[in-house]
Amino acid sequence: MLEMKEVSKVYGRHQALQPVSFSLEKEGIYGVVGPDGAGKTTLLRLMAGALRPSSGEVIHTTGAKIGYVPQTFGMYEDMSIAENLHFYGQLNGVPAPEREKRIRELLDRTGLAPFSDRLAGALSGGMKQKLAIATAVLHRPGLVVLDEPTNGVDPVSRQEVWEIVRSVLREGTTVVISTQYLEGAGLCDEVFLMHQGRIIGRKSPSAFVSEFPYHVWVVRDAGSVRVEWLPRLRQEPAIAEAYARGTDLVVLCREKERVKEMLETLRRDREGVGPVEEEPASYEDVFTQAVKEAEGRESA
Amino acid sequence: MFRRIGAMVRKEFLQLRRDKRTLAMMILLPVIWLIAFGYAVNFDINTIRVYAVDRAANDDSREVLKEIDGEEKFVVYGKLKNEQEAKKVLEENTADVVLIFPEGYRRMPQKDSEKLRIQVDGSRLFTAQSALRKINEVLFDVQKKSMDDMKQEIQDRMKQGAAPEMGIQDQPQMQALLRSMPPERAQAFIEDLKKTMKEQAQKQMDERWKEMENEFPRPGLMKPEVDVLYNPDLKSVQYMIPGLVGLVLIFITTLMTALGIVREKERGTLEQLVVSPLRSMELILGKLLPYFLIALVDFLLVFLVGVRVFDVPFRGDFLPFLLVSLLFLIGSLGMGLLISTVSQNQQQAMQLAVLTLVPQFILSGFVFPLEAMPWGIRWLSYLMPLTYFIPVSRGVFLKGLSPLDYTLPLAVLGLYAFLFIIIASVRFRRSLA
Repeated sequence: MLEMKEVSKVYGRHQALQPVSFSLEKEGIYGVVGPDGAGKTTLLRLMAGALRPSSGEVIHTTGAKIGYVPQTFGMYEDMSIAENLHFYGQLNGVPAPEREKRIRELLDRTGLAPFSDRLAGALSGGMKQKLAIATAVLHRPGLVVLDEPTNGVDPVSRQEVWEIVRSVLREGTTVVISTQYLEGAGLCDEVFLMHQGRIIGRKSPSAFVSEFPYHVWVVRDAGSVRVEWLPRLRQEPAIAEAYARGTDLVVLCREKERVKEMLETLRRDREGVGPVEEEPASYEDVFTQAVKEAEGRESA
Repeated sequence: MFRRIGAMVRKEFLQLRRDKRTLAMMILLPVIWLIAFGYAVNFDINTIRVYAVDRAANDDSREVLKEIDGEEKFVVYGKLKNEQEAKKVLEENTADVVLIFPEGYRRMPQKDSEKLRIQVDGSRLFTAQSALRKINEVLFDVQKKSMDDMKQEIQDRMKQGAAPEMGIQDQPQMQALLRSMPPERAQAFIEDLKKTMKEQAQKQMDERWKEMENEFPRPGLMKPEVDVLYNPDLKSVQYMIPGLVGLVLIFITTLMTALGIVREKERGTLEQLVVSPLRSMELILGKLLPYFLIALVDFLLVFLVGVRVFDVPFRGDFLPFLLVSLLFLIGSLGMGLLISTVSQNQQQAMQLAVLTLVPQFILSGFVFPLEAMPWGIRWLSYLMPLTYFIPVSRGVFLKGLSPLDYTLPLAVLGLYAFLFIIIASVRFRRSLA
């Protein structure tokens, strides 16, 4: 479907992407996650063909049919939903009768049908993203690249966007999607984790979680003691990470029982602090820790 | 390929239809310029307001004022007491010209102190120039008339001098001779002699007059025979409209192309186009074609209004002129495209477009003649495409020449069109990557 051979990108003196090589062979949803400035957008633009690589080669093995939704809204705001769809359909060589049918179908699927005459500029964030995705898949591409399509979208619309993405996959289109909302990564078949222009991991989301070497302890209702405990816990060699999440305190560690004991001891002296419970690792924990370790390796 | 370009062109027109401001600018700008340059920008002043400080108050000063008042373009508003008042009316802009007649003013002065003084407001350059030109013409006519009068007076005086009352019979010798004659014969003799002498004197005078007249200047012939070709009434509008055709073409196309492409870049839509199967050449053509067509409509609009409404003669052939205009148009499109490749946003594109267009407006010879520019500036003019289009346009419009008579400007326009389009296309393709 897509092969990247030693592909890199340099902007002036800034190496936005270190040479990467991989291929997408199976149909599926591929997620790209990583902190800001990790090179996600550069990688996606290269995959979509919106950017020429500084070195290496991008090979689209399924032909040139690609759909792309850039990070910034790339539709014509002074044209209606229907006009945008027709224009891109024409550009992509979708014949008129088929185009009509396909546009109706996509408008229904995205829930945009009642607004087809509305100018794209007058749409809400969620509707804009749905229009962008509908436009990108109108010509039934083999590969569609979506750059943070759930960014700035309310939770309900985010859910709808993911449903549309899954329906696109059912049509036989492989999806590459970057996202800041890490829970979305769980919906992918495979995830590329990026950091500082490098791909530092490529696994299925379940593998990322199952191979996570840390246990997660949560101290419930630790609101009053968080400030006091956090510096101390972070200095503990057995603890990899400690952070506050709402009123809870989250601790990542390798030595499960020892750390539990330590937390229980601390808790016993305090009134109002809730129980210490184990939780499965979240994607946020997994990716954040992986990035930190990569940073540690680099500085070492 | 044509289907994709067609889709781009349709999309551009659809957007233009929605973007009323841009559309209005593209249609209204030429109309506003037509009105401005056709009616307003006129170096010919129609009414020149005159005041006078008449210290002479003699026949000559009155005669000059009468003559000036009689001229169509002059209106003599009144007399002023002194130079201070003259300065005031010029300052207040209630007068265009003040005439100061010194004491003892003469139409044909002999001394400096008898000369007329004229004051004009140099801060209003064109009014001052026009007023001075016109007033000199009137003064020349007045002096011409004075010379005619003077000539007549001399002739009359000479005639009077030719018939002196001759007391020849009072001479002692003549009296002795007459006494020796019978009285009747003497009377006849003296009459005869007087007549002969008078005739002789008259003959001599006539000969001298003839000699003098040959030497005497002939005021009627002092003005050269002026034959103004191509624009006999020296109307500004006939000079402006052929240039305006070029100005409209270059402004509309350069500005609109630059802004149109940068807008796609700025709004992120260009990236979508790049990912589509649209090739870069198709993208360029799809973007340029609509502006090309609109510029063509503007061209025809200015041309037709110029010829029909402002009566600018079009003496050349239309088709060759249209072809040269298209060549120029292609160059302008290329310039717009080039600007779009070096601009990141519409503001930058606008600034760059203005930076390239305004000097062309000033330095191309559209308003001010190239010949009046110093060399340091003139070479800048020679870098500008409009400098080469304007002489061709004026030549075809007013002189009825063929564009082929302008080989060098034509070659330069062709070179510009070729270079701009090639460089801009290459840069554009590279910027897409």
